[in-house]
Amino acid sequence: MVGRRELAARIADARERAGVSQVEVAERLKLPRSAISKMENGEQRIESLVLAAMAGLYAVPVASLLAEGNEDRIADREGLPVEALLRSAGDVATEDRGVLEEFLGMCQDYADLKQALKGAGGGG
Amino acid sequence: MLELGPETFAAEARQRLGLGVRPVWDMVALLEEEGVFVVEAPFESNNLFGAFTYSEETGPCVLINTHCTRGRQTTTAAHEYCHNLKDRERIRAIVCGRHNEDEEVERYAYAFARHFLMPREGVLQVLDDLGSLGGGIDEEDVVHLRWHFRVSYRVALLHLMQLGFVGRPEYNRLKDAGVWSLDRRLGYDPDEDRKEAPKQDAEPLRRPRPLVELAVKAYEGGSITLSRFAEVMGLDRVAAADFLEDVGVGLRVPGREDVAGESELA
Repeated sequence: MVGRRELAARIADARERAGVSQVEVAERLKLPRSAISKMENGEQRIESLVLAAMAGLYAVPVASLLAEGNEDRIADREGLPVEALLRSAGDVATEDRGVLEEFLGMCQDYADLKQALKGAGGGG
Repeated sequence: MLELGPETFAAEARQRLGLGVRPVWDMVALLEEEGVFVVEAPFESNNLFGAFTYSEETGPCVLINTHCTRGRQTTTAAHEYCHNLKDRERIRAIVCGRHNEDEEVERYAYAFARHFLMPREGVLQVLDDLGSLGGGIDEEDVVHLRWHFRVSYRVALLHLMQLGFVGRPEYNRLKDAGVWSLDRRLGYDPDEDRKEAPKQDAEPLRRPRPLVELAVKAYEGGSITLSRFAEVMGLDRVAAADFLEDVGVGLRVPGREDVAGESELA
């Protein structure tokens, strides 16, 4: 099941993509703006009815906000030999495994951004 | 196909880059110029030196453990450069450290790194300048050599032995010298060789400049949202917005209050 922080990031992202402000969302859902802010920061649980209303407002399927598989951004990546890298580290401490995972995340982000800019005709 | 020895392979790489016998002090810049994405970050352990990974999608990527001395970091960068030149189709991911330093592919990359950083001709020139070519190399010569090429004392000494300038007994005698006091006595600043402390738990790793520049450009061009920008930067949305404003990029969200969140409402 998708975690609260991941869901929070997804609804904030969907709202931005839809070009809607938190104030507008609050007005449409008849909620305080502070509640929207807290939900987007993962500080407040999102009721299912609220989530459905948000999805409608942002024109995205609820399922896409809840879909599993995107939560672990590292494990999901096709291009990177993640497991091979972690295996080759041997008996590595948790902190160092975290550094390796963050490193891989940055590699993927770099590739994604280059691709996004290429797609936008911005070069890289 | 016959594999070149590490010295020849390193000499070819230097020649291709037009380096002559000059020292390479900034290996990270060299790697970046060669199209490698480099992340410098401190592991908790200093028995891990670095990592290399390659895929068609990401291209070559290198991690350098900054919780090692600067000299060690330079060697690590050259070592990972060898993996990029020679092994990337075969070994797509490797973490390099004490745990696998005896593996053949690793021994080759360490030897390549020494030859790439300290070409035989360059070593000869330094020893000649020091007046030590006639024999009798001492720990001061090793210190001068290490600072000339910006490598660790141990790596410089090992290289001298492998090039045949010192024998095994001399190596054993010189290897435990008090390096930092020698550095100071000879006018070098050992602080320039210091390692970085491991990161604190909650702290995100420092993002490399090329990644930051790309993220800013992507946000500015409308290719990514503020949330995505924040995620790439390892920041929360407020800090990400502040960062963008600091670098002169206007926010694109419908209202600045959307970024600030609850804290500004209190």
